[in-house]
Amino acid sequence: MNLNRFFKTIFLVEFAQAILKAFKEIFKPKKTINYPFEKGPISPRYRGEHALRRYPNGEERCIACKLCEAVCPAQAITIESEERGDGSRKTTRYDIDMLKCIYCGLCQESCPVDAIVQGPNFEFATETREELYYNKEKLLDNGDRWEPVLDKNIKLDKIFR
Amino acid sequence: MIEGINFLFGEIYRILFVLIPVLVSVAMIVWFDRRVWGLVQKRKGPNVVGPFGLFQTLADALKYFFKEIIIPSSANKTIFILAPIITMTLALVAWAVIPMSENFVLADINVGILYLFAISSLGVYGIIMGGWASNSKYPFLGAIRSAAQMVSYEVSIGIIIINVLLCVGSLNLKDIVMAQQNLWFVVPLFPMFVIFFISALAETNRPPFDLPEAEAELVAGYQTEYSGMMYAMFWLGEYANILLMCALGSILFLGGWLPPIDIFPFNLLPSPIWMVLKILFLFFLFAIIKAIVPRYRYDQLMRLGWKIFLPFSLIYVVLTASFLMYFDLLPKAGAL
Amino acid sequence: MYTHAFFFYFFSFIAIFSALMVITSRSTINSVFFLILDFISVGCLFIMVGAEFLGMILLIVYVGAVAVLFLFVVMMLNVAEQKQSWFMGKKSTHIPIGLLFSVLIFLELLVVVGGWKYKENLMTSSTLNMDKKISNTHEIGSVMYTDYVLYFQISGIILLLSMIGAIILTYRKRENIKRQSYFNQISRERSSAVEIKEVSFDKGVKIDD
Repeated sequence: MNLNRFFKTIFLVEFAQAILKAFKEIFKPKKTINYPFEKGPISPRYRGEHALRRYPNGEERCIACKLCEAVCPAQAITIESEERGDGSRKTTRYDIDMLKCIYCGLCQESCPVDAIVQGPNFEFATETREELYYNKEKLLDNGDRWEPVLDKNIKLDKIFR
Repeated sequence: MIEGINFLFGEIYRILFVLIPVLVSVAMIVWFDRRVWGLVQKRKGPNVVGPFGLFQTLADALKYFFKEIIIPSSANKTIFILAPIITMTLALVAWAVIPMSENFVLADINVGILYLFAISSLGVYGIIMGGWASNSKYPFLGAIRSAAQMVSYEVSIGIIIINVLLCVGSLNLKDIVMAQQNLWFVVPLFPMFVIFFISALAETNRPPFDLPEAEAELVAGYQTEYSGMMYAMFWLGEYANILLMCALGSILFLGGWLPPIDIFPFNLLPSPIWMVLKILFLFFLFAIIKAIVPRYRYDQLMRLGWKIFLPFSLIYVVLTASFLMYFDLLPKAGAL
Repeated sequence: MYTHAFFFYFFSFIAIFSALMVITSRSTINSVFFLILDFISVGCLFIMVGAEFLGMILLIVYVGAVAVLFLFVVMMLNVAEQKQSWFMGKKSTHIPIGLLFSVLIFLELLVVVGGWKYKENLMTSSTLNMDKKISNTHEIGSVMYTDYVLYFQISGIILLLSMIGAIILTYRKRENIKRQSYFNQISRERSSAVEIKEVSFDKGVKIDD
């Protein structure tokens, strides 16, 4: 029997050391973020709430190619389209069921004109289910609201594509 | 008749004068516990409600108050409702004999330490009744565990108390404190203090001995089926018990309300403040230990209680007794 | 004085009521709970007559430990389901025996209660000297460890023997099982358990040799 070990056990040496260590930890800087007031950093690739973007002149980017609808693994996207007066093809309906969506980001990848993107916003919880069935207005509104950040994120991520 | 009513109200006033500080300090101590626990783990702990989050417990209590009380249909209703009431009542009733200073005690009874010991041994009933009356498996297992655990550790606490009583010669808590005027018992009886502290952890179901409510195995143990105010009462009772154990520890070993040295800067503070400081110190240790230790397995717990603490404290009783006998230090009968 | 009488009747009423409930209640668990209530109220009565040491010891030993074990056994055995069928059934041999014993105990009670009448004679004939100044804890101690030390020690030895007997009766030695040695487990240290080795590229390292 190891005598040193025996005394260590009997006199609770390691226990005392642990208490001392814990006492030191109390005064060390904390890792906690006061969430609603402080937020952690988010990668430019973060896949949060969806948004439909516009060109700088205010024309919506989406050309209703329906690639995103086809690629969506959860089949959360529904698109209907029509020819507009000036001959361009535009969507009349662009719905995303945010409850079905699995936030995989495939719609963003498939989009040829960078119209549908997933922004950095993750705080879009609602009180009812219905509020999470996003339609075209909501998505375009999101796009308008987040455009500066979305634009910056796409530029930052460009070099990796 | 008028005198009787006056007497009654006088007593109620005195009781409230003890009870309300205890309840408020229980609320504060829960916050303190969570805060220390967080700080040790490099978190911040509750810091939002009120200054430094001090009102967190009050907010929690308010939440519990407005929650629905659910009684399982297969439960034994009477016992189910009785269990939290018993836990809380017993935890509060014991405070009657705790002396905060030489004159500040509700009931200065001759057998104060026995009273405390009896009340803390009754504490197991709240848990065992709650566990059985829930008529569900996890609470029952938790109750059985806690019954065995608390009975086992009461034995060693009893023998540790005998050690102290040998040096005092009285069962009165005031006498126990006054006997430590020259030397706190923590110095000559240091091993007993350590064992008392660990047994107190087990007695109050604190980590690392929180097997009755081990969340990894038993969901929440005996509290599983409780909700709303009844859960809150269990919770308050538990913390009042922890505080009581800290008070008992400071009376038995740390010299109660006595200042460390009876000279100028120390005896400026009024004695209840010294008592509170000592209770807080012990509770701080409780909280820090909650943060650093993993939970014991059940057989390890029983082994520790019966095979290590019990023989060790028995041997120490013999040592203390023979030391006092040899140097003729035994307290004389009726001296105090 | 009235308060004293009031509390005395209060506790004695509870004690008698719960004693009755112990034998009449249908569920065993309730019986045990009423037994506990009985112990507590009797403990309070002890304290009221000035025997605070006995009262507290009654609470600690009987309520704090013995009744817990009762409760333990009753809960584990699930005897609540039996619902005391013998009490309801017609042909039963329990009732005559029970009656016999209850009559015996009743006679004993009569003797004890009747004996109270001659308390003065008994008190003078006893060798105990009551001293009001010394608390009854001291008194019990001084009597128990001087006049009756032999009986005290003998009863202690009897209890110890019965404990050893109970352990021997239930103990069985089990072969071929692995037991843990806690001391060996906690005495492992980093120095004896971990070894750092240089691993050269694409060779690996041989362990266990």
